Amino acid sequence: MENEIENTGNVLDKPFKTLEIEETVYNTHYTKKFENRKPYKPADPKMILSYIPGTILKIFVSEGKKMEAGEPILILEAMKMRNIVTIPVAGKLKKIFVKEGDTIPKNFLIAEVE
Amino acid sequence: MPINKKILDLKKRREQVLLGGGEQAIQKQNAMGKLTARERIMALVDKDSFNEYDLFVEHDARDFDMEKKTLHGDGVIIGTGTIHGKPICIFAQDFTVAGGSLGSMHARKITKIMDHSLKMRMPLIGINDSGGARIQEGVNSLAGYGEIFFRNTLASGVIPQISVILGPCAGGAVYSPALTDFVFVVDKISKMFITGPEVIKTVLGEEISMEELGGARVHAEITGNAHFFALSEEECFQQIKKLLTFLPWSNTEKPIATPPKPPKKQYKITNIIPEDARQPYDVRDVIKSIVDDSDFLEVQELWAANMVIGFGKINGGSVGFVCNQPLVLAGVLDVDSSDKAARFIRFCDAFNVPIVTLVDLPGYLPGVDQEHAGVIRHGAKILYSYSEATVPKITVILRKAYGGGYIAMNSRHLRADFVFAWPSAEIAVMGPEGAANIIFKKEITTAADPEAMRKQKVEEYKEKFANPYVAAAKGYIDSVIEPGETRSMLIHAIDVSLRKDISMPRKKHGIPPF
Repeated sequence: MENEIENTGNVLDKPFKTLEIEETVYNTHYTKKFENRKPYKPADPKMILSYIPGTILKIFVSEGKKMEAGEPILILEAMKMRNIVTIPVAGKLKKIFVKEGDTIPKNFLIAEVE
Repeated sequence: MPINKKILDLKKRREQVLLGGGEQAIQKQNAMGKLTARERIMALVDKDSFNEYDLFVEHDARDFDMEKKTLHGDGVIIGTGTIHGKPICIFAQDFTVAGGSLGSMHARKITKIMDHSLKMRMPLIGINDSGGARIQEGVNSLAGYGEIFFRNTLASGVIPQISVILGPCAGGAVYSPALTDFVFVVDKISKMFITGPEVIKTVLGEEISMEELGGARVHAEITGNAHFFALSEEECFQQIKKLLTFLPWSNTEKPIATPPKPPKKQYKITNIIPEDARQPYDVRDVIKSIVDDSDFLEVQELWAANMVIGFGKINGGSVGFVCNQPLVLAGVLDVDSSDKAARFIRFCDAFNVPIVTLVDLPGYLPGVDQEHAGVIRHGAKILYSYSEATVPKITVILRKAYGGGYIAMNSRHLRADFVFAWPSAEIAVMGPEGAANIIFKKEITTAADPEAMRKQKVEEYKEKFANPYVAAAKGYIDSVIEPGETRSMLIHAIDVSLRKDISMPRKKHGIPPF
């Protein structure tokens, strides 16, 4: 049956994509936010990422050091505070990817634990 | 001095102050594509209806050589005027005077007109165009902002408050629009952010332009802070005037009544829904085949497009619409669309605007990003808003109403006053495919031909449950109606609901899942 709609103004002329909800597949358009969503990746506890952009002020340890959980690795200066980044798990600090004076963004890989 | 000379003196003083920051500053403002504050007010209010107050207010700052500076009107114009012949209160920040920065007298002027609008029960329109707090006035500027925010909250739900962002609105200043009911932005002119690009660059090292950070499009499309988006200031003023034809002047009044008009003939309501249940259609076509003159004013059109909200007139009376939009993301409910609908429902409830809900959704949007963004908490907002609303609430189920989506979209259980369904309605706990796979799992897996068995069971489920009659048999819906009957059913339903008088149990207020 043909739709007798004329001149409906805001009809989006782009071709439809598909969206599956509870095993039924619908033809529809996406929102920009939906298209740009990041696929989920579980966090790796062995990779220490920065939680805020900032500057590396001072590094306390060197590569290869065996550390207990909670020991400080370096000072990340951000938001006018000297934030101490600690190692989350016990282990050997395999590699440090930054040096003192570096300015890093958020989610930057600081160090790797073995 | 004889009175005539004194009158001449008054005229001269007025002329001087009316220039604001001076000819040069006015030219600079126009060169940026912006009207001056006074030009804006004149463009918005009815001709010759504007009266200004506090024209001769001067700032009282004494630090940093401020006593040597003359700031006409202290950078803001306040007054009363009429729109559509009815009085409104309005303020417009004057960017030509000290960048429209807010000092204590500037804030005093704004709070004065805010107090008027609340006292006199009329809409408040605020035109924001300011560099922010006047640093030279220190804490006095902060105090000024605080007083403004408090009054925004005090008046919330009593009078409609409209914010028009026609320039920068940064830092603390941007919270006033955020507290108001409708925010209007204009492409390339509006800028709203808490911390600007320079600060972000210094503190966090991230580079972004003002437009990308908090321009009009960002707020219209991504953050949902803006309700109306225009390409020019003139278009923006037309939108404001249009919006005011749908709103009551205060929470004890009715909106402007207009003569009833039938919808335009080109919208044939019966032919809008496609035969294939998985094909979308534009729900705005359904709305336009219901409202007077097919005149529908959509709110927040560019954000969370899978939900359509807005105002229309049915038989001359204002109605708020909350509708799933199958054209986008199959009309699902998600974090943003729940927020969008919930706030609009509360606005309609506060201002006695009946709510018509058009339902066609398969459920909630699945996904880790949705779950981690708190779709539980946000989705609950729409349940709360519908349940709490005591205005007439009428629901029309157009097509799918599955599971939690059926409940959330103003079902009888959330105390909708009338629930109608089209013959195309499918009111079920979930879609036939999903349901058959679960219920008939044993039959399907043990069958000789599982695929054929699955297809058969899906058909059986569709036959039995994908229709409005199971819900109708329980009285969960009031009536199955033909699409062509929708407008007349709505007219009647709203008519018989006008004297609705119910109240919530006594409480100071509930605790919505903010």
